[in-house]
Parts: sequence; C-alpha cells; structure tokens
Amino acid sequence: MSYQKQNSSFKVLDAAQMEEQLDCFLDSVLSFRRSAAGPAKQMATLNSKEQAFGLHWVEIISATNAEMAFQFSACFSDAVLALQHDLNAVEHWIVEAMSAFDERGLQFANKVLHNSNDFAETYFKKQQGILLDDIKNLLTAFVCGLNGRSLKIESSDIIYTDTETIYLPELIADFSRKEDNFLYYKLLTVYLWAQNWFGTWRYDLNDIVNEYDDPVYALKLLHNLESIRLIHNIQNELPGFYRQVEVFMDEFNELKLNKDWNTILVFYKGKKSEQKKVTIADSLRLLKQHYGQLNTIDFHFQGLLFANKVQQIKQRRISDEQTRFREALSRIADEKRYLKPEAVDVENLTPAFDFNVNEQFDKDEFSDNIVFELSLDGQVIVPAEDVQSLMSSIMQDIGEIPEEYLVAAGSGQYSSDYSDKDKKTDNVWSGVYHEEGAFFYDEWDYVRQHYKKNWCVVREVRVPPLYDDFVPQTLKQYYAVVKSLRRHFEAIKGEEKLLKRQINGDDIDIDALVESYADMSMGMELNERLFTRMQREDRNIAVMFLVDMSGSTKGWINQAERESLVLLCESLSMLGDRYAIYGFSGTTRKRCEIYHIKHLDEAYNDKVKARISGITAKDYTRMGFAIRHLSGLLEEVEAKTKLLITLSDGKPEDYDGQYRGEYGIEDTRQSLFETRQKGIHCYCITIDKEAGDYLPHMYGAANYALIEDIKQLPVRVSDIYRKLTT
Amino acid sequence: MDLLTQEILPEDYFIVDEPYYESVADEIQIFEAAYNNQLPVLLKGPTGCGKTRFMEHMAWRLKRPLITVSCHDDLTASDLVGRYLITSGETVWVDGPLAKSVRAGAICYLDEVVEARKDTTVVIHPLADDRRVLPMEKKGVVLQATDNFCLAMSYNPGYQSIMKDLKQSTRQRFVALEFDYPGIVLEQKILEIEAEINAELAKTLVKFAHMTRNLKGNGLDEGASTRLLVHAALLIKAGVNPVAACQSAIAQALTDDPEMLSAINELSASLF
Repeated sequence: MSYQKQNSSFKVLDAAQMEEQLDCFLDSVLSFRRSAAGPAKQMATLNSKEQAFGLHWVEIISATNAEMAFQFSACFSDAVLALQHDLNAVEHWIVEAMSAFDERGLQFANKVLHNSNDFAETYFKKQQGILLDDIKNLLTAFVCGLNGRSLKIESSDIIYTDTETIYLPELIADFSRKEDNFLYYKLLTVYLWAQNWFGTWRYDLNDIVNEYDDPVYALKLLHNLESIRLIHNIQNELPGFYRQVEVFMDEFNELKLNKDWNTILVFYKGKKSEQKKVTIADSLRLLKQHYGQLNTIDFHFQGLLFANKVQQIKQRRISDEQTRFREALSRIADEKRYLKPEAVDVENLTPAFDFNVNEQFDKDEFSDNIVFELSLDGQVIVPAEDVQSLMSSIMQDIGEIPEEYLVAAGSGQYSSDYSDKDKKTDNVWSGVYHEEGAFFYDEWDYVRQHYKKNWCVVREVRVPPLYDDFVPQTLKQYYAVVKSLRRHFEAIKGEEKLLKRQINGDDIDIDALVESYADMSMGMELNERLFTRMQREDRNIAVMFLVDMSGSTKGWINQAERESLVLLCESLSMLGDRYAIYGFSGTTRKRCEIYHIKHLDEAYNDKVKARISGITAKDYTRMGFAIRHLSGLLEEVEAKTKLLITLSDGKPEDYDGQYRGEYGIEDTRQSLFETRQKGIHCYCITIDKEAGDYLPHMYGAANYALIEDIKQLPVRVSDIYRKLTT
Repeated sequence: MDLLTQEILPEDYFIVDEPYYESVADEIQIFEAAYNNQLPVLLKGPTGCGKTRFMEHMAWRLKRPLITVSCHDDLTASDLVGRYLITSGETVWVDGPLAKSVRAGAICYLDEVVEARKDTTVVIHPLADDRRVLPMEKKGVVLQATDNFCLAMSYNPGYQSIMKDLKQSTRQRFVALEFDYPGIVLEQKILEIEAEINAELAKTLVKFAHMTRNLKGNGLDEGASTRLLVHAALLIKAGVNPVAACQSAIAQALTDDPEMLSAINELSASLF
C-alpha cells in the first residue's frame, strides 16, 4: 500500500501542515464556513504512522465521495483512540463505512463514521466471539451427521427452528474464550436439532395449549418440560456432547433443588433406569399433571417455540412429500414390473405396497436407528436413497407411513412440480425486483484494495432456443474448414501410442531383440529395452467458453461468435473433451446475467444448437462476475486440465460508468487471479485491436490471442483451442 | 537373482484358517450354487464392506486357492493372460495370474475391476460364459478351464463415473451379489469379534459410522466403512483415546476438507 511506502520517510505533521494536506483532497467540499482546520488539529495529535494511514484513506475515500472523506477526517482520530491504535481494526471500520456508503448512501456511512465507539465495542467482541458465518458449514454438516432431515442454519435475532431451518444468533461473544462461544453455538444447534429429531413438533402445539385456559403459560410450561426431556435424551444419545456443554447447564442442574421441578427430573430418571424412551406424549402428560403447579423458567438456551410457523411449513411439506412419495412408489412399481415381463396381466393390477418398521434394537431402548422395510406384492424392496430419506422425513413428521401414502400415483394424476417454479431465474424480472435465487459475488475495488462484499447480483438465465437453419447453414458455408478441422482434431485425439524399446511391456520389440541379439553375439551386453508397450494418453480436459454477449457484439460480431461456436462444437465433439458454453452480459451490478447455452455434461444436441442460434447481443460487458461464476463451476469439476476461454470484443465496461476503464480492468484481472489460484487456466480470444493495451495486464502476455479479421474468428477459435490443448 | 524362480505357485494360495465372515443374507449359498454351476460372480458394494473378506471366506469354504488381482488403470490384457519374457537370448512364456488360475482350477478374483482398461475386461468374456475358455492370443492356444475354476470380480458402484462403468456385455455375464454395510446389530457383532472390543464401544462406533454415512452426499463421498470402524476399534483397544482414534482412523481417512473434518470430529466427540 502506498501509505506504507510513504511511511518510512513520513514525519509527524503539525496542524497547519496537516490542514494543507487535507485541503488538497477535500477542496471540493470546503468553503468559507467549513475548513479542514478542525480535523487537521485532531489528526495532528496522532503519530506519524497513523497520520500517514489517515491521509492515505482520505485520498482513497475522496475518490469515491469527498463529503464522506471530510467526515472521515473529522472522525479519524476518535476512531484511532476507540480502537486502541490498532490500525488493522481502523481499516475494518473504514471498510464498513464504505460498504454502508455503497449499499445505502452517505447518511448511513456517516452513521458508521461517527459511531466508532459502537464499532469498537462489536469489533472487540467479534475478536473473542464467533460469527455464525464462519461456522455455518461446519454446523450444517454436524447436524446432517446427527440424523434426520437435513436442516439449514440461518442467522436470526431469535433462536428457534421451523423444522427445516435452525435459526441462531449472528454472533456469540458472551464468553471470554472462543472455544466456549463455539460450544454454545453447538449447544443451541443440538438443542434445536433435538426438537426436530425427538418429535417436539409431532403434534400441533397450538391446538394442545389452546385447550388450557392460559395458553401462553401452557406453552411456556410445555417448552420447559420439552427442554428437560430433550436434554435428557441428548444426555443419553450424545454423552460426550453433554459432558462438553455441562458448563452451561448450571441453571438446569439447579432444578434439582426445586422440589416441584425435581419430581419431573425424577420421572425422567426413572424412565432411564427402566431403559424406556421418553416422547412428546410424556411431556404432554406431565403438562396436564403439573399445569398450574410449576413456575415457568427461561432456560437461556431454549429460544422460542413458533408453533404457527412450524405448522405452516409442516402442512406444506407433508402434502408435498405425500405426492412425491406416491410418485416414487409408482416409479418403483413400473421398474419392478418391467423386470418381470412374464406377468402380462399384472399391468391391470394395483401394486400392493406394504410398509414395516423394524427397530433393530430393543424397542424401548434409546435408539434412533430405525430400519424400515418397504415391500411390493409381498417382496421386500430396497428403495433408492432419495426415497429412503423421503420416508424418514415422513416418519419424522407423522411417526409412520399412513395407508393412504402407500398407493402409487396413477398415470394421468396430478403431478407435482417441486422444482420451485416460482423461483426460476427467468421469472425474477417479470415481477417486482427481488434477489431470491441469485448468486452474489464480491467485486474488487482497486482503489480501496478491498473487495466490495456481495456486490454483483448474478443470475443464470436461459437463452431462448431458436430453431432455424443456422447450424446447418454454417456447416455448409464452412464445409472445407470443418473437414480440415476434423482431420486436425482427429490427429490429436487421445489415441494409444505404441512405445518401443521399453524395459517391460506387452510384447517383444522384434527390432530391438534382433539388434541386441547381434550385439550379444559380438560379445556385448544384452540390451534391457526389448519390449513394446501401449501407452494411452488421457486428455481429461474440462473447458468452459465464456462468450461476450454485450450490445457491442450486435451484427457481424455476434454472427461470427455463433459461427465460431458451431465449428468449435463440431471439433470438440470429435475430441471428446468436456466443454460448456456460457454467455454473459448485464446492466449494472444489480443485474448481471449468465446465459446458459451448454452445461458441461450436456450433449451437443438440437437444443444446444438452437440456443447457439438464439444468442443475441444484450447489454454491457461486466466481466468479473462472469469469470468468478464460471471458475466456481469449473472448480467443482474433476479434470486434469481446466480451461476457461473468453471470447470478447472489447474492454470490460458497464452502464454505471464506474466499471469502465481501470476499475473494470482491475476487477477482471483480480477475478482471473482468483481463477488461476483454483488451478484453472485462463485464456482470452479477442477481436479488439487495442487489446494489446490491457489484455497482457489482465491475462498475462501469453494468454490471449488477437484476431484482427473478424471473418477469421470461426476458423481461428478452433485452431487456437487445438494449439492450447496439445 | 532370477525373478522367474521367485514365482509363487497356485498351491500357495490356499487359505488354511477360516477367515471371519458374518453372513448378511444368503450370499454364501448363492455363491456356492454359482460355483457349482460354473457361473462367474460379480460382487458389488461400497469400499470396506467385506467383499474381499467374503471371497477369502468362500475360497476357504470351497477349498480352492484364491488368486487376487488388484486392477488399476494400466492393467493390460497381457498382465492377466501372460507374456513372453526374454532370458539369456531366448523368449520364455510366463503365465499371467488369470491363466495360472485357469490351469490350477483356482478362484481368480479381480478386485475393483472398473479400474482396469476397457479392452482388458474384454479378455475375460470367453471365460465368463458357457465356453469357459481363455484364448492366449500370443501363444496361439486356447485354455479350457476346469470345473474347479471360478471367476469373480468386484466393483464399487458408488464412485462410478461415466468413464468408469462396466460394459453391459461384461456385467451381463455374471451372477451379481450386492453388498452393503451390515445392519446395526450385525455390524456391532462384527466389531466385537473382529476387533475384540466390548459391546458398548462397538455400539457407539456403529452409531458414529451411521452419523458419517448420513453425511454421504452432503460433503462426504462415502461414509465410514466397516473396515474403518475395525481400524478405529483396534486403536481404541490399544489405548488410544476414542475421539483421537476416530479422528485418525475414520475422519482423516474420509476427507481432507478441514470443515468436514471438524464436523466429523465434533460428531465423534459428541458420542464418546
């Protein structure tokens, strides 16, 4: 960073010198009434390193907004004090203020700048605390491993579960040690998982508590009783876990001292020594028995019970799963009958499904390992994994698979579409704006040398297929080229090579043998290399093509791009490399679009051809998000060589003006840098004659090709690909 | 030293002591029936669920030598059938393991057969149908298998990719036996006997295995196999702390992803 460079020779500035410096950056917002004297005076009290740091950021911020820079200079010295001269922390504060400016405007940025004390408080808390975001994946995997329906983890101010998601606080910093904060997260997670797994939500709790004259008290008491039951179960099922979290259980353990509550604990203890399971039914019975006699307690870990929310979600899930299960059964029935062709008249029979639960341990022992058996026409069948998890989810909700579920869905019946059709990305823009179903990508701001968090809202959109004669026409037009391309590609296809003169191999190399026999008869040593061996060369390449679909490609360029793709697909299908084609365009960061033309594992079929034909010029060329998105996709693919090739016609740019020029180039460069770190090779094919000015900086000198004559593009693209991959 | 004299004879492949194996269903009976009718057998199932142990057990039961070939992607047809070698100016034919088994009436077990090259698997075709012959192209002879010979192979449908799938023409020659991790009670018993641990520990380990199997498809490619459980059990028996044993024998064997590793470690810590 430049301030560090300045730093070595930076002397402490007095107020006047400081004001002079500030004036340079803040000129546009200063007037008669407002001078930089005040901020300068404050900043003059800091040491040279801090002063340099402050000035450096005043300069950067003033490039975004001069008023914000002024406010910053006024608040800087306070922030340094509040954050205990930790410049790293101060930088976090600045970045937060700038993000607030980016997202919500100057007013909110000022709020952050002027509240450095609040920031300091949460900052130091975060240092010892744990953020949910940091451990979300871990907790999700942990819960998934525990058992039952997989639950999502989200942040919320209230701790609860809706039977599909566990809601936890964003940050836990109540304990001085990081480990304890993490442990507390774990406690909350396991407790809420236990609500789902041990059947707290088996019945509609609203219906139950409404039978009492004080439903609020009844619900609270039931919550307490359930908490005791769940902790009791957790203690038995996960003894190691319980030992870890026992430090948080003081309040819980003190219940023993309370005579009334102790009877409940004794009840559970009794169940344990009898080795009996305790269920929600026990809690309901206890509720009836002790209603009005017990004072409710607020266990700190128990959160809230949202019976309404749960009920809504449960209803939807139950009906959805019933349909899906019956459809799965009809699929199973079809398959089984297909395998038994001799039973001709069987088609007219309704398949008779049956369902048995098989608990492998003693029924009353604490056990969560239930094995169910599904049988068709008296024969036990093993359903596929998805059906099994569906069954266990139904079991979790209802406790059994009811009779009516076991009727296979007939043909012509209502068929569910659970692909979340309301959330299809194509529909997003037809309604009010919302960010559901979109991907978010950070963007690199070279001025600040920081990422802007979740800056680009990216959607994958379909290219409407256009069924016309574009592909056959192109093939006809380039008949000779296609033929020679095929010949070239045929030659590099992963053929087997016969390696001669090997130490060992499949067969004897007669030439070598004759030679060495001759050698031997002359008294020389026998050569060891006497065998031939077949060596297979695996290409194992996954390549993604990213096609510029910006407005500037309209007309000729678009035509050439599409033709290139057709020829490329012809050549690649020859080669057997896996490839995908995506287009990109967009207007501003809020509307970044990736156009899907061909997925990696999709075959080159008529639909893909029609999509290539349907490629049209769209809006602007914001490149960073597209590269980040595709490199993310490529990262998940297993291949020896991964390649990302961009077809472009110019510099990155966007409607909002900011992306134009250096900012866009630097963001693209950064995204390519991230991509290369993932082990993906990047290459760019461009027709921009000025590409020499910026492409070497973005891609590296050897990683791009400039095609000056647009007519050459279709022929050259395949050719370049061939050279790149051999 | 002359490598050729080091050759191990099929007679050395007899299994003397009974390998411990718990039957899950009627697989022993089916295998015996297939063997008696000279049908080749295909064992399907995830890694570490007992396929190889089953083969050893069957070889012991049928009193036949067991010749195992671990297939890899450079395994060629001549690696199986045999090849000419040159020694002191002369070419000498050396039988491959498959030819050896055919001659000796042994059980030839091709482990993880999908790993082998596709052209390699084709050489077993004439052996795997009613002809029961092994053409030795380079020698110009056809080897007829005796009634004792049995061909068996295994593959794991779990990590199948398009590149590594059995051809229909290959798989349709075999009697297929499907293996999976044993049920809870049985797996517990296997641990108790194989690793000689107490029932309580076996139960917890099996529970832990099920937790990791829940994670299959959610970050893990495979859950803990019975073999890994045995490893963990042996470590614990040797005095290693159970959580540490699970971490080394199971978690680290399953994944390299740090997040998944800590999730699995948290799971094992919850149980012990």
